[in-house]
Amino acid sequence: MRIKSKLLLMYIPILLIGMALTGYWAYLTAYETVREREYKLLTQTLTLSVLAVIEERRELLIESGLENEPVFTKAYQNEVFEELKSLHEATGRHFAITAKASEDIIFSTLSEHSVPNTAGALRGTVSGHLVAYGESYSNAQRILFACAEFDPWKWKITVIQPADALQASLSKIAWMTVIVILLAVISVTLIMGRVTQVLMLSPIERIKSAASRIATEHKAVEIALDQDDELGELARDVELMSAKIEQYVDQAQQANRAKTDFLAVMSHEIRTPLNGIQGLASLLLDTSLTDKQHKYATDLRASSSILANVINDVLDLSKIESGMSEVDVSEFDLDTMLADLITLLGTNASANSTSLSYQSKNLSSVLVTSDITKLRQIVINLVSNAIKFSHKGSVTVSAKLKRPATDSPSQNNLIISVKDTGIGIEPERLNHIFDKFTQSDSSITRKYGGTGLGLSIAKELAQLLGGDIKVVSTVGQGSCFTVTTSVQARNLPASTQGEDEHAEFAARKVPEGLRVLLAEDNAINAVVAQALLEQLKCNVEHVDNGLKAASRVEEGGIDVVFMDVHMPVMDGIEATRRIRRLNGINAEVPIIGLTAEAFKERHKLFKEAGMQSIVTKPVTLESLKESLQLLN
Amino acid sequence: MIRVGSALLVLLFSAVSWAKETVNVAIIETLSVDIVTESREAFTEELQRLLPDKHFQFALYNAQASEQTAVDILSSMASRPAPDIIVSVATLATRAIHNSDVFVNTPKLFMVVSAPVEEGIVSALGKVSERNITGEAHVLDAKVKLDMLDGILKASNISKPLTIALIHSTYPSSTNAVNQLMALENEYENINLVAVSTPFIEGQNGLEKMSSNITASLNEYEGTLDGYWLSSGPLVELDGLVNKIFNETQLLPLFAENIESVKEGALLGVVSEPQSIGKSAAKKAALILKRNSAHGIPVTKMNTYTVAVNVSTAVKLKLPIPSNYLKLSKNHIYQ
Repeated sequence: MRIKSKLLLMYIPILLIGMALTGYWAYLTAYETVREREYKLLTQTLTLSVLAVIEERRELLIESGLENEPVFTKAYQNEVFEELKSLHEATGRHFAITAKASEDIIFSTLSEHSVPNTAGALRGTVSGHLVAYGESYSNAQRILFACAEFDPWKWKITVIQPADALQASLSKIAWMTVIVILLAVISVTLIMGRVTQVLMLSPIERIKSAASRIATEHKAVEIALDQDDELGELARDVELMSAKIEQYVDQAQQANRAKTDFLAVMSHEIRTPLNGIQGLASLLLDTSLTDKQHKYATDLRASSSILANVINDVLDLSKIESGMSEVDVSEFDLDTMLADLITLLGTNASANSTSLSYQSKNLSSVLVTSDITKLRQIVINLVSNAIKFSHKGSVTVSAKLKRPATDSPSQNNLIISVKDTGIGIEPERLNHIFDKFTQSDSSITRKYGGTGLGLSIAKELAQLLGGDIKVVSTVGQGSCFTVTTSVQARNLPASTQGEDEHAEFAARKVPEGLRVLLAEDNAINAVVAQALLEQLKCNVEHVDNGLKAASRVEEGGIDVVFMDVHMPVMDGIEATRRIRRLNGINAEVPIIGLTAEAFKERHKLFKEAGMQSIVTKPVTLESLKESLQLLN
Repeated sequence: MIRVGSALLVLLFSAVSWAKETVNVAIIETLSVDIVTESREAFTEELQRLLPDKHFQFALYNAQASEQTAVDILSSMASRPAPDIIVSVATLATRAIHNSDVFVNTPKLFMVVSAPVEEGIVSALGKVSERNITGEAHVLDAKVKLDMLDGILKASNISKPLTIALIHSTYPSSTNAVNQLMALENEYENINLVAVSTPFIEGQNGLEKMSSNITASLNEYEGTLDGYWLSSGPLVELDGLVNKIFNETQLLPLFAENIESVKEGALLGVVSEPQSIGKSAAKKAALILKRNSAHGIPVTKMNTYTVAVNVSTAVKLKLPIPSNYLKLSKNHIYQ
C-alpha cells in the first residue's frame, strides 16, 4: 500500500473521530440551546403575553373600580379566553387554565382537555413571575410546557407546545451536523491529501525514483529537490550517496574485472596442464600396459577428472557470483535429455552399487525451452550427490510439468525430484546444506569427498532459471531434493525437423584423411590433441604459434585448423583474423578454437574474430569429433 | 417717579402692539351652547399662540340659532372694512357664510359642522371648496360609532337586539347624522334603531321645548325601547337632558356625542372635544392667514376623538364594556 493511501487511511478515521466528537459536542450544545430557547419562548409567552393580558384586564377593572363587578370580571375573563384562542391560532401553542385549588379545567385550546403533569418541572422567575417549565406528556404526546399561577383569579395558566417542532429542529441540527462533518472530513482530507502530496509524497517519489535509478544504474543522480527541510536534506544525502555508490561500483567493477581476468587466467593455466594429464592418461590407457600400469593410468585419469570437476565447480560458482553466468535458452526434448543423463550417470551409480532410475510424467513428446546446460548441471549435481550418499541404495529421478504442455509454447513450471535412500540429513543441518563449502558433516567430506559446492551451485542455477530447490530429509532414510524452474513448454509435433536434424547430425561421420593444422604452443597438449585427431583418422600438422599457422594456411592444403588462443608470437585470435583476411579459398578454411577459457563472452569474441566453433579444454575425443561433425 | 415708570411701561407695550400686524377675525357662532363656545375659545387662544407676531382683533357675533340672523350679521358686516378671515361655528352660521355673496374674496373657515358634504360645501371630504371656504367635520363616521356600540353588545352576549331610540331635532346636522345611522342599521344584528325627533326650535328657549317634545315621544314607545342615542346637534347640548329623560322614561342613553352626556349616564360617547375642535381649526386659520386665501385647502374630518364610558350605566344595563374601550377612555371613565 502506498504512503498516500496509508496516510489517508490514517487521516480519515482520525478526522472522522475528531469531527464526530466535535459534531456531537456541537449537537449537544445546540440541543441544550434549542431546548433552552424553546423554554424561554414558552415562559416569555406565558409571562409577556398570557399573564400580561390577564393582568392588564384586572388592572383595568381595578382602575375603573369594577374589580368586584362579576359582569365585568366574567366578561374580561372571556376576553382572556378569546385572546388565548387567537394566540393559539397564531402560534400553534396550546393554553389551558385550571382552577388553582381544584385543578378543574376552566379553559383549554386542546381538543382533549387534559393538563400535563408538571411534577418535576424546572422553576424560575421570568419577568417577575414564578414559572414552572419542562417536558411532559399530554394525551400520549410529548410536550413542552410552562405554567404559572394568577392568584387574584385563582387560576393556574399552562402554555403547552408539542415537542415535535423541537424534535424536528433537533433532527435538522443532527442532519446538518452530519452533513457538515462529512463535508469537513472530505474537504480536510482533500486539503491534507494535497498538502501531503506537495510537501511529502512528491519529494519522496522523486527520492524513491532516484533511489531506484541508483539501484539499477549505480550512477550518481540529481534529485534537485529545492526544499529546506528534512526531505530536502535527505535528497541531498541521497545525491551524495549516489555519487559514492557510483564510485564504489566503479571500483567494484574494476575489482570484479580483475577477478574475472584472474579466473580466466587461472582457468587457462590450470586447464592447460590438466588437459595434458587427462589426454596423456587416456593415450596411455590405449597402449599395451601391464595390469599394474593400467591401474596406475586409470587412477591418474580418474584423479585428473576429479581435479577437473573441482576446478569446474569453483569456476562455475565464481561465474554465478560475479553475475557472469548467463541464461542461454534453447528448446530441447527434456525427457530425452534427462534419460540420456541418467544413463550417463548410471555408470557412477553402478560403481557405487546404487540403483539409479528415472521416471517422467507428462514430459513425453514435450519440448521445453530453458537453459539446457544449467538444467543438466543441476541434475548432475543433485544426482551425483545422491549417488554419493546412497551406497548400495537407490536414487530415483522424477520429472514433470506442473501443467500439461499445450500445442503452443506457454509458461509452465518444471518440477524435478531426486530422491535417494541415503544417509539423510539431520534437521539442524538442513538449512545449511546449500551453503558454499558446506556438507552436513565435516567428516562427510573426508568420507565421501567433493568440494561441497555441488548443492550450492545447483541452488544458484535453479534460482537463475527462476526457480529454487527444496529438500526434505530423514536421517537414515534418505533425502528428496525438489527442483522447480520456470520454463516454457509445448507439445512435440508429430514429426519434427529437430529430430530429423538430430538423427542426421548423429549419423554424420568425420571424413577420413582430413588435413588438420593444429596450432598449439603447449607441447603436451599438442601431443594429446594430435593423438586424438589421429584417432579420428585426421592428418595432423602441428605449429606452435599463430603466425606459423596463418602462414601455413596461406600456403594452402589445409582443410581444418584447430587454433589454440593463447600462443606466443601471435595468438590464435590475431592468427584467425589474418587467415580471414587472406585472398582466395584459404580465407574460408574452418577454424576451431581450442581454449582453456570457460567464459562464454570470450567465446563470442573468438567467433567474432572468425572461428566457427570453440572446443573447451581439456579436449576429448568426443568434443573434437563433434566440432568436426558440425563443419559438415 | 412711579408714575413716570408706569407711563414708560404703557408706552412700551403700546409700541410693541403698534409694531405687530393687526389681524381682524370675525367669528359668527350659531348659538351659545357649550361645544360652540368652548370650541371658539380654544380657537382664539390657539390662534394667538400659533401666530404670536400678529395682533388679533376678534369680532364675535351670535346668530341665535338662526340662519337668517347669521345672514343679517353678514349683511351688517359688509358696511365695514372686510375682516382678514371669517370663522363660522356650527352648521347654520356656516351655511349662511357659505351661501352668502358678500365677502367673496375674504377667506372663510368653519368648525363644529358635522356634515359639510351634506351641506354642499364640498362634494366629498378631502376636496376643496370653490367658494374660498374650508374647515373640518367634527363628528365621527356613523359606521364607526355603530361599530363601537356593537362591540359592547357583542361582548355582552345579549340574547336579542337592543331597540335604541335615535333622538334628535330637525337641526340640519342632527338630521344628517340620524340619516347616516339609519342607513347603516341593517348591518348590525344587535342594534335596532328607532328615529325619535322633535322639530328644531330656534333660540335659547327652544332647547327646553325640544327636550319636552322628545321625552313625550319616548314615552310613546313605552316598554319597547332599551335605551336611546343622543345624536349630535343642539339638543344634546341641553344640560340635564339625560336625567330628565331617565326620570320620565327610565331610559338610559347608550351612545352620546358629548362628554357631558356620558358623565350624566350615557354608556358610551365618542366625541370631538371642543378643545380639539378649536385647536385644529386654529391651525387651518393660521395657514389661511399665511396664504390670504382658503382656496386649495381641503375640507377634512378631524382625526382626534375622545372616547368616554360610564361604567355605572354598564353595570346597570349588564353591558360590560370591553377592556380596549376602557383603555381608550383612559381619563373619561365615569360612574
